[in-house]
Amino acid sequence: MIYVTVGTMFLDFPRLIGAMDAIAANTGERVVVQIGLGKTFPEHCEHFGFKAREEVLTLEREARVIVCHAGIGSVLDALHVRRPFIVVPRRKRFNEHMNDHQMDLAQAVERRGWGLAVYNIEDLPTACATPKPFPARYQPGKETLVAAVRGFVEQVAGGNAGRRGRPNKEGTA
Amino acid sequence: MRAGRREDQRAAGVDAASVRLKIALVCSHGGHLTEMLELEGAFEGHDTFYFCYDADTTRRLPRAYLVPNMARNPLEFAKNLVRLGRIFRKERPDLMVSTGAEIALPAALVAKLFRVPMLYIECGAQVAHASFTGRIMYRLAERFLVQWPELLDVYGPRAEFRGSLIDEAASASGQRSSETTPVNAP
Repeated sequence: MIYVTVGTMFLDFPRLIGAMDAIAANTGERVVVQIGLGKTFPEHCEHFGFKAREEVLTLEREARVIVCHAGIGSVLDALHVRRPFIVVPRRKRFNEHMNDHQMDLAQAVERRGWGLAVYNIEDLPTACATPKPFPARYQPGKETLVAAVRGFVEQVAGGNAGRRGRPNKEGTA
Repeated sequence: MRAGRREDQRAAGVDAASVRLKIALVCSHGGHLTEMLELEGAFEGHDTFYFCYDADTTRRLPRAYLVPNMARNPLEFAKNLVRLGRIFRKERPDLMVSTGAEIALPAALVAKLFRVPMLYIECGAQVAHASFTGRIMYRLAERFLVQWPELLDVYGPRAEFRGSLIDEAASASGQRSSETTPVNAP
């Protein structure tokens, strides 16, 4: 099964949904598409608007490969379930996003070797047929970040939330 | 106009380690919300409420103030300032945390007015370019974290890389190109 997600963006992503519909028709593989607020409905894929995150993660765990837009939520979910994934960045010139910032994350996924990035939609069938295995070494720095945030929360609780290197109004920084 | 729940508790003799804060969590409804939910462990033992756009994903949150997603409408921005003023007066948050996006801006202005300290965590989608919201929050927030070491030099010396929801733990040795000491040193 291929799980496809376009995120919560209000702009449609027909380029991706159309390509996945063709892949479903040509290969016969089961394709499940989260279409969000989009108005493009695939004919050969199962589809839905939104599901709770846990249900999404369950689908993603079952997927042979995940195909998603290069939004942070979708990429985090794909990394979380540790399945092979392909990112297709939304582009401004196709009116898929307000700007081209999704290119940054797509390139980062590729640069770090976590998954494939498809910039030309004609490359998607090959990418789906031969995805990159998920790297076993991948380990996000989440605990470090949570600890850093926790540290700041504790600083505030202790009455010491001034800017670094500058004493706050109670002079305890 | 200080929010001040924590001052009340201190005055009542509660020690710093057990002060229970009220934390305002501000984010939009997509990936920014996913990131905030991932950070929830950092707020354990404190009270939180969300300020978000109204969407399928945010309606599932237990304690949330939801506003229409009309970010580019100046009237809606002004309305959000009034709404936030009311919310801050009622909730009296001690701290505001935001993972973006532009919904952080009206909240940051109100937080400044109420003298509520802010922590901004730049979205993991910003890898190599500063976001519009990030550039403003860099100036307003007490602490400013980025999730990719590549972004440190883009923002400037006040930006910190202290782990990431997305980038690998191995990158936690990430350094500014201009520095020799790791910025994540405890």
